[in-house]
Amino acid sequence: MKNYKELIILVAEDDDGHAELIKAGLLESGVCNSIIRFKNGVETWDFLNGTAEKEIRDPEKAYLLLLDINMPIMDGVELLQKVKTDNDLKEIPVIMLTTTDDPREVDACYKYGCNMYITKPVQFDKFAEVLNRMGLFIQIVRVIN
Amino acid sequence: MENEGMKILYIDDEKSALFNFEQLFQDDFEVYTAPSAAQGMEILATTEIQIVISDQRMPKKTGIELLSEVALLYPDTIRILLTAYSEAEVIIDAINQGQVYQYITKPFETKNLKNILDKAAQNWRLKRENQLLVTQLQKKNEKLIQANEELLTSSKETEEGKNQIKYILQTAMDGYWMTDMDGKFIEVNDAYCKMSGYAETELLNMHISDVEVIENKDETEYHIKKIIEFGSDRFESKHKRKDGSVYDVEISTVYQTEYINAFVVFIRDITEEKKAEKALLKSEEDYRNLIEFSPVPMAIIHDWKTMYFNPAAIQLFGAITESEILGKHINEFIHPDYRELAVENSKLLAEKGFVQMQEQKYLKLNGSVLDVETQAKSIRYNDLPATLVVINDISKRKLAEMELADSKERLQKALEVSNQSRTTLLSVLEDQLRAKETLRESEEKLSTLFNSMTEMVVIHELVFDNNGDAIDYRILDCNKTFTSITGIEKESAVGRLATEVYGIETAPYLQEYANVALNGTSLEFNTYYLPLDKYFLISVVSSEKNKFSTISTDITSNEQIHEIIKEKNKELENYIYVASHDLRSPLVNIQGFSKRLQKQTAELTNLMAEMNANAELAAEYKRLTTDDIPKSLSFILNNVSKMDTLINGLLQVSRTGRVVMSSTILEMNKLFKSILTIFDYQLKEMEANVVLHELDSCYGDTNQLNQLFSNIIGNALKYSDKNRKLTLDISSHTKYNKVIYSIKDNGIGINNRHLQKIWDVFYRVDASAPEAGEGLGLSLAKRIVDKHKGKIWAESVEGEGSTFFVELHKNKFEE
Repeated sequence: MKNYKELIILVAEDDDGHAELIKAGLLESGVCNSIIRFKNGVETWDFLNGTAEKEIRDPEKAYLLLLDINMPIMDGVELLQKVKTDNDLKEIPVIMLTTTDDPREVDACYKYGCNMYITKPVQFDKFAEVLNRMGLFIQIVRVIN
Repeated sequence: MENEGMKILYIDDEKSALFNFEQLFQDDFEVYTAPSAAQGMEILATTEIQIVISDQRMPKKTGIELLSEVALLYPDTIRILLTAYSEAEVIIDAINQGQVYQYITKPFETKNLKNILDKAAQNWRLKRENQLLVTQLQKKNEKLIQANEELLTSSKETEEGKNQIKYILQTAMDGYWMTDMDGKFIEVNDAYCKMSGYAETELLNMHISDVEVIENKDETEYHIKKIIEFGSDRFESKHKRKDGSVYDVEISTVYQTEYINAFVVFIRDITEEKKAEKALLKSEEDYRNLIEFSPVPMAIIHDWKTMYFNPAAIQLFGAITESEILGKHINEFIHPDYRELAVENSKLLAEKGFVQMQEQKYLKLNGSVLDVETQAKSIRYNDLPATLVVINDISKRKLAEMELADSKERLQKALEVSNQSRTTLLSVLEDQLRAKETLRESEEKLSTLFNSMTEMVVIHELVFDNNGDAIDYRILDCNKTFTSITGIEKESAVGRLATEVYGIETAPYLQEYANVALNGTSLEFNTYYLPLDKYFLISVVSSEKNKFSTISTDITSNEQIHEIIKEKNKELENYIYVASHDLRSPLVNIQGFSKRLQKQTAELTNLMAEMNANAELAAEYKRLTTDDIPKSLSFILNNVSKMDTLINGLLQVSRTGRVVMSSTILEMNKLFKSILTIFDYQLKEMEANVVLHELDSCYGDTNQLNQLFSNIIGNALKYSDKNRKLTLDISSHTKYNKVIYSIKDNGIGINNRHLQKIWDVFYRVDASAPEAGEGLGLSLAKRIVDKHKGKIWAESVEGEGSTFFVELHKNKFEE
């Protein structure tokens, strides 16, 4: 398994509860990868860009970004654009995980290069299921360096 | 009464004198008075006046002048002059001339005057009687003279008679004899001597038979006896002259017995007459031959009976011989319809001697009808007054005429038909006229409608370039609304090109209009016309090729409302969107953590069952109960309160929309001061520098505007830059009927990408920031401004500060 890097899940979610639920949900579906949570787009960007004061992205490691759209200061779409136009970052898979189901928003995200778009269902069972499936998906993602 | 019937006329210009005179003499005379000469003359003209008395001195005419005239016109009157003057010479002359009988001086004495008048009357009577006597005498004398003259002439007559007759006989132009009973000449005149060539002496020894050629002696004797028997005879004969030549004579003889029994014979040489008669006979024969052989039928009528028919006529009437039709009444040959005409014609013939060509109908022997044209002329035939009728058979012509009439009739019928169709045409025309009238009326109505329409109606005609492409259009007509909307007078629009009228390079909507005008397909569209800053609903129709009419309705206000509704809808949509979105997140949490709590409780229950197992388990239990469960619960509580806040915010927003405004003109400085008072503590703490300029007043609801500006100022305090002291600058300026208030701060500013979103409900640039509110302030501000039909916008430079602008109405407006 030397060929495979450790995959770190990045959760960009301004809502603490949501972030908590996502973490718990992923854990329950068997995703054991380490999770780093960000409260907004700027924080996330700083981490990815290496401008953050504390922890920054390790180029030796692989990342997956779970991105909420509605976030203060810098929203998910803006961050998506930045990531997907950056040569170092554009390989990072981005899964939009958001309450917004506006088709225009969805289209925009795919246009900017998101890999998957998942709507947060209000019904927790469904939400849990989504997270479960997503977790299974994450387990099979292999990022080749 | 002696003077009875005597009429006196008194003429005097003094009326009193007239009155006096009348009083004095009216018992004795019939008195007439006149105040002037003229009136006197009038009386004289109508009344037989015997005595005329006139005053000498009168204004227009003197008495003498008047009486002279009277003398001339009425010489029998007795004329008396009355004068106060002694104009002796004049008067004497007048008397001498016999114009005046006497003169009397004024004032006259009644008695004297009476005497004079009596005498005058007497005189007049005498004169009259004398005159009558003279007249009678004259008449008797005349009769005597006449009788005398008659006597004289009658005695002369008897003496001269015989001589006269003898002389007459001798000098007569005709020959004269007297023969005895045997026929021996007793007397002959010179005329007969000349006529016969014998001398008187020779003849006096001769006998009638010596000169008579036709009769022999016995015959003459017989003739003589006949003459004796009848007393007279007149006949023609031939006499022989001395030289032996024979000549025609006309003889008239009377047997008379007064002096002796003798025949008085007058002989007239009628040789010339006879010659003429012969010639006439000859020409008559010629004519007769002419008539006889003429192909023109001719007949001669005498006394309504047929006397002669020429062969052509015989043939015409269908007879074989003349005898079949001769001697018959002409009515047998005249159609009953024309018999009256024949009577009239006979009158005409008697009067004028001829009847001009006329058409009539004759009857043939067999009774069939002949159409003829006749001419008639009075002639003498066989020495009888007769009528020659020249007949022209026009049956064939009549036939032709009938055919002609027939075709004429047909023509007439055709004409009638054409007349009928003309009538039809006329009625059609009338209908058309009526229709025209109706059309005119409706046109009038239309024109009234046209001008009173609130829509702008314009009639255009396309204008093409050389390639046949529509490049412009010309305005043909427009209504009043056109002027009121565009401000362009009709006079300066009609007949001109759209580009000229509107002063632009391309005629508005040319392509759309051209399409309608060329294809006839109507078009209706909504448009915003920038030069007029108006929205129009334009209907375009084409009544004929290349022409089109536009009916434009100004829907600017409609459109504005639409725009507002659209915006409101969008806003509402946004509200709903935002609400559903933002309410969703907490709900996800509530649900999620509730489920987790359930799971955790279940776990706890399981752990509880394995209680007392070991210390490890106890620690786990502790963790669940002291850590996990309270954590979950706190999240739930948090989110419940969040949800509460959001729902409250929504309520507030909707409340703002529903609140009833009570607007007045507001003193804005006062309003801002009261707001600043509320923030006074904070401002002082921040050592803020607030500049409140003199503000213009505006029209609005004081509470709502208070909230609006409070929210803006509150934000300014909230998002002030911690590194510098806050500066607030509050000012206003008036633009037309609007007042624009600006609140400028030197705060942290807003990034451009947030600038449009700040008006959204619940929107916060950084919700996690400690100062962040519920995201309602500015969206409420916007709603308030909307309710005031105003505008709100912001300009900001991140890191430098923001300026919020609020535009409100200066004066009262329709809410």
